[in-house]
Amino acid sequence: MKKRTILVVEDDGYIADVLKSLLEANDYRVLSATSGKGALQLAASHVPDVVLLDLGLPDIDGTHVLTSLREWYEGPVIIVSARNQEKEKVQALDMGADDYINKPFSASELLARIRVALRQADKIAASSASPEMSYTVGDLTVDFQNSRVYIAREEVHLTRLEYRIVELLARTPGKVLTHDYIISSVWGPYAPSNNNLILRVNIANIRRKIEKNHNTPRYILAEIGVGYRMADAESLSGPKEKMDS
Amino acid sequence: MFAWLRGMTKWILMNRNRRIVTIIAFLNVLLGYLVFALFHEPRLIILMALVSAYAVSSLTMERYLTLGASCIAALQVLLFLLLEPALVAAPLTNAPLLLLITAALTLLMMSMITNIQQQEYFSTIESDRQLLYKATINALLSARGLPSIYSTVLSAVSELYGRSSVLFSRNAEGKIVSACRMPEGLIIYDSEFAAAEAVFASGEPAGRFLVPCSFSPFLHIPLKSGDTVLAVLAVLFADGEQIDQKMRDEIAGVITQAASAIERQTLADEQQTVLIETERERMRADFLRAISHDIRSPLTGIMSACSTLLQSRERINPAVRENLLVNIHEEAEWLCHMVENLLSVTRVSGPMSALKKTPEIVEEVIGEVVARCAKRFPDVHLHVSTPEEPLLVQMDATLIIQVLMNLVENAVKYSGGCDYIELTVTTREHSAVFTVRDYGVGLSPEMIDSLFIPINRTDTESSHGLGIGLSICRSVIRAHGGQITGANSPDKGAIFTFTLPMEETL
Repeated sequence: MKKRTILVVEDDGYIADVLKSLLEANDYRVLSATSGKGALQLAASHVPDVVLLDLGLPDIDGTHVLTSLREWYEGPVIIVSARNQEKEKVQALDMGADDYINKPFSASELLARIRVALRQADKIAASSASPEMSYTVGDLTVDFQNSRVYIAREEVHLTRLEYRIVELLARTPGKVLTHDYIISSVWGPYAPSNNNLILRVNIANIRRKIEKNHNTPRYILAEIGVGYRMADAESLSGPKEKMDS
Repeated sequence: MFAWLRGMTKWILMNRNRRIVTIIAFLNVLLGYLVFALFHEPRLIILMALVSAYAVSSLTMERYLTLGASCIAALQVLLFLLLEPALVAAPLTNAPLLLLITAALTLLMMSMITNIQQQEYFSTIESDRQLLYKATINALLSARGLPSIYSTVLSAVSELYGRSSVLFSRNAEGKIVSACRMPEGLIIYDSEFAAAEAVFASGEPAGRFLVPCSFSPFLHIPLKSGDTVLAVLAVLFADGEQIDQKMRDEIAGVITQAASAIERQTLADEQQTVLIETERERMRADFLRAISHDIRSPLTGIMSACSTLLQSRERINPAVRENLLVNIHEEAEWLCHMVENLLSVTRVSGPMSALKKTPEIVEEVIGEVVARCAKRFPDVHLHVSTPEEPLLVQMDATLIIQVLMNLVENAVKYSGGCDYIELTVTTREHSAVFTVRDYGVGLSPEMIDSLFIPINRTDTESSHGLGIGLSICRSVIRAHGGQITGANSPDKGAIFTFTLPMEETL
């Protein structure tokens, strides 16, 4: 199988080296850019499968690189940012980034995010064939065709809004969706003014319906300050298994 | 002669007292003359004199009863002397002349009395003013705070002289400002600021009555200490008003006193600032020392492990190598956590406070804490309990997660090997209550007293800071309007509790 190419845009030499080593050890081909301009040039000439973009670049603002990239590049872009900068992350996600990872990152988490991003991209490329009919992870099954949700084969009664939220998350498993994205997709242009609150409450209710313990959710994972993510098969079989109530 | 008479008449008629006295005096004289003409009895005149004296006193100069009475009595006695044949060889029998003499003498008495009355009135005013002046000086001696000193000076000027005034001073940037004005709504034009500026520069009074700035309706007087001008007092004079030497002297007295009060206050203020700065520096130094210690320990661990791996590469067996790498990872993780704690401090305090509270679902915050704990302490069982209903609390989620992680970390590290930790969230009145509880060795009494103070540890143990983490927790919780406490739980172990205020329910 042809190796996937990842464009790593990182100005810090050490981190760039570590990333290169990690990714090459996991069968990826790595292109490195240390500036926004360099990144755009490399992207244009090689068209990588995934772009890993650090937001704190020296010459141009990472978000500018993102916008320029998104003018023509359709592959997944994962942004790397410091931990406490939720606003930056949300802004980047809303501007076209697919996912994010915090610095300092764990190797396994980074690889998982890249895998999710690639899977998504493949799905989109192949979606012209036939749309997905359902999504299953762990005990959760979301039946898109019939608009039903099952936990361990028993139907869960969700309101229409609740179902639409679950469906939206289930169509892009493993990928983070920002609050605003979910709100505008589910409520559309008629979203009420305190929409964020309503979303949170809806998610809390959904959680109580499909999770065994609302404190340790397995399926709908909250990214504080950013949005929500539907678990994929990988994230289920992690250390979370050990935590119970 | 006539002009004098006219003037006299006017003067008499102006004052009520004088009018009454004049009328009664004339009546008295007339009656006296009649009585004398009828009875030829001079002694009756004296009696009448006394009677009329009493009448006058009770009608007009109540306070001058004795004075008035004795004046008129004297007058009558004089008349008697002039008329009593037994006493005088040639008694006066010329009636008009008698009348004239009596009238003249009465007027003389009256003017004397009025003068005395006026003098006493003015001396009362004068003594009141003296009292006020003394009171002002005393007030200035004991005044605290520049605003209070300024307003004391201005109210003194207002009460003593009935004039409006302004106090000019230099602000921190060196600009002339009006520190105080009486009355509050007094309008001051830019030219006055210029005049005050001139006085600040020259150190000499200026303005009204003087050169320079003689156009100004204000008299600008500098308050000096030695040669430095501390402030400028500007007193407003209306057109036509004058200033007399007495007023100048008094104002000078007030000004001297005010100048020394201002000087005293400025010195006291500076001393206070220095004290505060010193204290702040000391605290900052303590804090930095504690942080450096906390950062150095894990770095030492990392350096040693790395250098061991590099130096003895082949001679270390894989299990040991694995162990060293894991250690490096843990120490580095701890450093990250420490850095985040420090960043929290900047978010919470200082003028650039970036604490922003958003409504968060508590179980999501707890979920994040659980996930992070699972990664950092895989062997620890974190038992969580939250209310059935979704709980919405305003908070800066990042900071509260930081607080919870700090508490869990302390529980793991200081419970002495306890691997079961309970994290509970409940509600009580209008607060959300978070508790972190372990079943380990608990807290010693000394620890409980100084839990939230960044301790300066003198021992060399490599374990990481208990003090910094908790003091940051406290800052964060306080910034949220909540409280945090630590105690030993009734069974074994320690329990930390903090509250966050809650809005009305969902």
